[in-house]
Amino acid sequence: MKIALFSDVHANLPALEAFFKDVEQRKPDAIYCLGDLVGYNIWPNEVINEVRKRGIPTIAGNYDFGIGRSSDDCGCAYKTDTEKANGAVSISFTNSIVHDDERRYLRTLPAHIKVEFQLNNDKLNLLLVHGSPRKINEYLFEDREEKSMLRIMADADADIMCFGHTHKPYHRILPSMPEENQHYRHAVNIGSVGKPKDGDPRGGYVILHINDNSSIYDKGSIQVEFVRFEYDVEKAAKAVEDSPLPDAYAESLRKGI
Amino acid sequence: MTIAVFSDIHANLPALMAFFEDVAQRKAYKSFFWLTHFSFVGMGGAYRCGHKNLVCQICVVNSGRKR
Repeated sequence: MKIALFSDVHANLPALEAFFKDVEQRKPDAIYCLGDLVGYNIWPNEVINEVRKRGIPTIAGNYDFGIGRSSDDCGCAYKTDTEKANGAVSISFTNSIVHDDERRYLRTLPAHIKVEFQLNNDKLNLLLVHGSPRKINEYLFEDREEKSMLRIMADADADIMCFGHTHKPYHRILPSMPEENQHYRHAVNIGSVGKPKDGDPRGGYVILHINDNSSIYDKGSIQVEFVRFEYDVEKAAKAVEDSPLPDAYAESLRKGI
Repeated sequence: MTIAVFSDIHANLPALMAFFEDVAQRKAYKSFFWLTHFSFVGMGGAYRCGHKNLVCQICVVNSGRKR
């Protein structure tokens, strides 16, 4: 079974369209969206409706949560005063252009999706979250201490935990904690379709390969494929520059930062 | 949000095709037969079903946490 997972489109319609083109060729059995449809670009309504019309199960990202409630706080951890000022412009602009029906949709998005496989007489729990199971805007970076990551996953009963929010993809295979039966947990950051921050401006997503031999005891039996695809970055960047949004977001798109 | 949930097709293709036609008119936000476990913010109630290789569960819970 091939499960496509994408996240953090952030109102970037050209990237989303290129994603659909790419993923449809790969014929996944299921597609899930891990949130943050809106913010930082000019097409929040269009992005929502493209995802919605395809019936793609989607969870709320922190930006969706904020816009759904007409809040001026997206729950983003901006580091500098400039980032904070730019962020304030973005959420204000997004709030001003999102329509009522689309806002209502954002407000009702679920927080988590859990898929429980039954394979080889064992359960295999796949948990989809935006930031972390305990907080929608928690950043799970690749360098997080192993013990902390394992605790988060064990508390959520997640054998495979997929998430976004940082826009930096990675796959960590973690041996279980000493007090547990020996098995492996998989922490997968699926990257970002519309606002990558790993230095590669191409959009990114993940295809998770689960087969009838997949098991928590065999760390190689669960494959995580990171896909990158080209899209019209310049169109997305120019749209930012032609809008009230800060030009810094255009440069971020061009550089993938 | 409109969520369509369907099950027990039992190899009945005409029924499945008619289902797709019907559900498309209703513009369901999601349609699925093998998922899972959703947690929503600020609602109450639960639904559960089972399939051959997968357990399907939807939990509608308060504060985004499983109850």
